[in-house]
Amino acid sequence: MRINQFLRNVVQTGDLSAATLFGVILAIAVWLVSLPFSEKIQQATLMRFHLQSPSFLAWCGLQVVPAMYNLENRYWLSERVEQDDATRSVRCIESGTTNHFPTRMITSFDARYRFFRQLDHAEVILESRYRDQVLATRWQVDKDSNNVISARRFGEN
Amino acid sequence: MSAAGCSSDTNLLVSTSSVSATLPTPIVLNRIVIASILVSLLWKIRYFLLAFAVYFEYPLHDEFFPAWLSSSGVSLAAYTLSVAACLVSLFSVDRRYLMGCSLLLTACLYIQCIHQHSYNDVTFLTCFWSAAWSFWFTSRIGRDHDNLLIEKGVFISHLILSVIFLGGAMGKLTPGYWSGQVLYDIYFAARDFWVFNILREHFSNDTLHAISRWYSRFVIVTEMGCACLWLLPRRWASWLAIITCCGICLFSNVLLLSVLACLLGLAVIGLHEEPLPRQSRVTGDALDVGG
Repeated sequence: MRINQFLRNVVQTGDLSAATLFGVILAIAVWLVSLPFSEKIQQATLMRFHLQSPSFLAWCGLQVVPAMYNLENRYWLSERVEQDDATRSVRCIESGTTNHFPTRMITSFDARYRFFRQLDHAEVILESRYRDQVLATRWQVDKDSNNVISARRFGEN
Repeated sequence: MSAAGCSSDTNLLVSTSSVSATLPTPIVLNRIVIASILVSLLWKIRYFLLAFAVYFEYPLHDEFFPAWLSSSGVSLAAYTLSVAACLVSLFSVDRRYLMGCSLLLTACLYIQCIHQHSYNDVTFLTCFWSAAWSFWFTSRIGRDHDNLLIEKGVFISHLILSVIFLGGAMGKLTPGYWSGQVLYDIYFAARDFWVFNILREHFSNDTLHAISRWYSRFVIVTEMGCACLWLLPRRWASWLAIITCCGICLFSNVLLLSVLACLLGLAVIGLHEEPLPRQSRVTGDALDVGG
């Protein structure tokens, strides 16, 4: 079946669900094809990967857009040591590259198990790059005595 | 178009179903897709079980996700309901049950796509698209002739596969992937997998960088090619998708089968043999498939 046959059939049969599905797929395809050319789409994608979309609803909408092994994503995870004189020091524990969503280095189960099971205070720097666009975010991660972890973004690099 | 005329009869065929001998082809194709989603969901079951244990033990609060989308209970319920919906769908022939299961499956998988625990796992994204296909497909059983439904189903499945590969390709059009550095870091430097172990044994670091560069470019070109599946004859498109998905599993990471199994299901339905004779199986009406 060719696209013109498909569209003709959709019209003839009044198949609104197929038309909707087709429309959503088409919109996503246009969005994806525009990615290399549009700074706005690049920034929206970077913010999506860093959980920094303008609204949660906007992020939810973008979550159906395929993004396997997208962008260049790096992370630096450090232990944060608070000292008596209100200064702090950090000791880099691990750095590397992730395939997508660098925030997984904070939220995923293996990050929680590998890092935050042992660390009470950590600092995580995440960076994503797509062509000329770069987004870097810094996160403070703390674990309390009940093993509840809290993650808070505290600035951009 | 005589689809309306066959509607009630096909419903009868589906719902009363003396189906054991000859299931209607659309039901079989839907089962293939649902079974492939089930494989995707269960492929990393040990991983998911361990993950749920860790999530319950170490809950994470952040400002971005609403509380209910950080809840381990919601995540576990969505996963369990997804598996249950697949199982019910595999053994049901009633269109209403099939639609209900596919709708539930789509909703649960979307929740996984936006949940703090699973938003980064593409397994749920590819399964979501397969489930959305299934919901649309089952909603048309009995409303379109089998031939027409199958042809539209295959076309939409190839559209979905195309856009998923397009997403992979477009996000890689950046110097880090073109130079191979990203895939070198992720796979070639230390990944314990047979291909990369062999390469590390036999080649110097410089050569590995060169291999990763061409490997990465090959991946981008392949994904670009697969983004055009919808333009190819359907069997060619299906075979290309199947070979690509199997290649990714065999040469990158077997765990990726959780992402790819449901895509294989979508691809396989395009291999369905020649459409049924252009006569309605139910009413005998001539069938217009729109040229």
